[in-house]
Amino acid sequence: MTDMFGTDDEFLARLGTVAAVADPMPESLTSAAQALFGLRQLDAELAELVLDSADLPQTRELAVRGDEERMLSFETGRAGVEMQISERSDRRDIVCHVTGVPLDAAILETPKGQQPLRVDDDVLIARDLSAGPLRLRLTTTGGDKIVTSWVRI
Amino acid sequence: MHGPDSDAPGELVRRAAAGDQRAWDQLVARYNDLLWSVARGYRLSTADAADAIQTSWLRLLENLDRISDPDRVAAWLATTTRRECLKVLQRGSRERPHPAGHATLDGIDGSGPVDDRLLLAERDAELWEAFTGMSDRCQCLLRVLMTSPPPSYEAVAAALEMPIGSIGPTRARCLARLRTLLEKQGGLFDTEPLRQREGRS
Repeated sequence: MTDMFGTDDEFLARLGTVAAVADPMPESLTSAAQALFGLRQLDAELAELVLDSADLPQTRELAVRGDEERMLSFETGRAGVEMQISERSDRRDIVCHVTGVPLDAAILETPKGQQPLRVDDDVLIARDLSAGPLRLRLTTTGGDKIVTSWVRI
Repeated sequence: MHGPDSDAPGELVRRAAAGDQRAWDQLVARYNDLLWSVARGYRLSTADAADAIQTSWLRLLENLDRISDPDRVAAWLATTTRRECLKVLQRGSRERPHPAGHATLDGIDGSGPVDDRLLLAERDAELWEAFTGMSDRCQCLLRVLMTSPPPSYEAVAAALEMPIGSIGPTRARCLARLRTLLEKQGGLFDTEPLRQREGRS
């Protein structure tokens, strides 16, 4: 189809030009994503996300905005992490239970920085976090390192 | 020195997995606009779009040496971003959802720096207004198709979770609808050639 906009390809190209002005991608997004490479963790065992309650249909139906808890489960071959997230507007509290390995240290990591968490038996608590991506870096009493998948809380 | 295919997506993934920051930078430079288009196509706010995109890159980072088909990393990223966007939409945005009209005549959406709030030419503003009045499906598809560099249909299909075979026909229908909208809107986009109107009067 052609008219004053030309062919579909030309019309789409015109739209793309307009979109680049009307709704441009913030330049900081590219430099921020490139800087993430420094967060690569090669010496740790990955505890993968195996369950997110937000993905369960029944949870979605029951969820009341701003007043629900979300459960995440991470697993490696030998260790498990259960993360309970409470939401208040854009603030988050998390309580984590680590099973399968004795913990020595834990660090909460976001793209902006790290925060050590107090290890109380197998429980880790962090309050008043900003919404956004995070992961946990754990060290066992035997010196092994475990890192969870990145999740957006 | 890299071989002639050193810029191929799969090769960039392999080099990044081996610790090459420049390969990672190239991947980001090549596909970030696609991810932005996906997130904006799903109408995420700037903050939510930024989080969803960042999370997608973090997921790629931790899976660099485990992706089953590195050559299809664009589709992998598009799928990951779509899932992140849907999570945001399911749980509610931490900001107000992006309004249907992304742009106005005198600015963008108020979320960008002032320098970015360029005045759109009146015709372009009219075009953008018509575009943002379209169905979610059309906006999302066209938005992703506008991405630079143009994404493969496989990546588009992954971004929208639609069959590859329906992309072409849907694209044609959406563009035809947009043309019709602009014609109905009249104004600067009256598509009747000027000389015909002049000749009639």
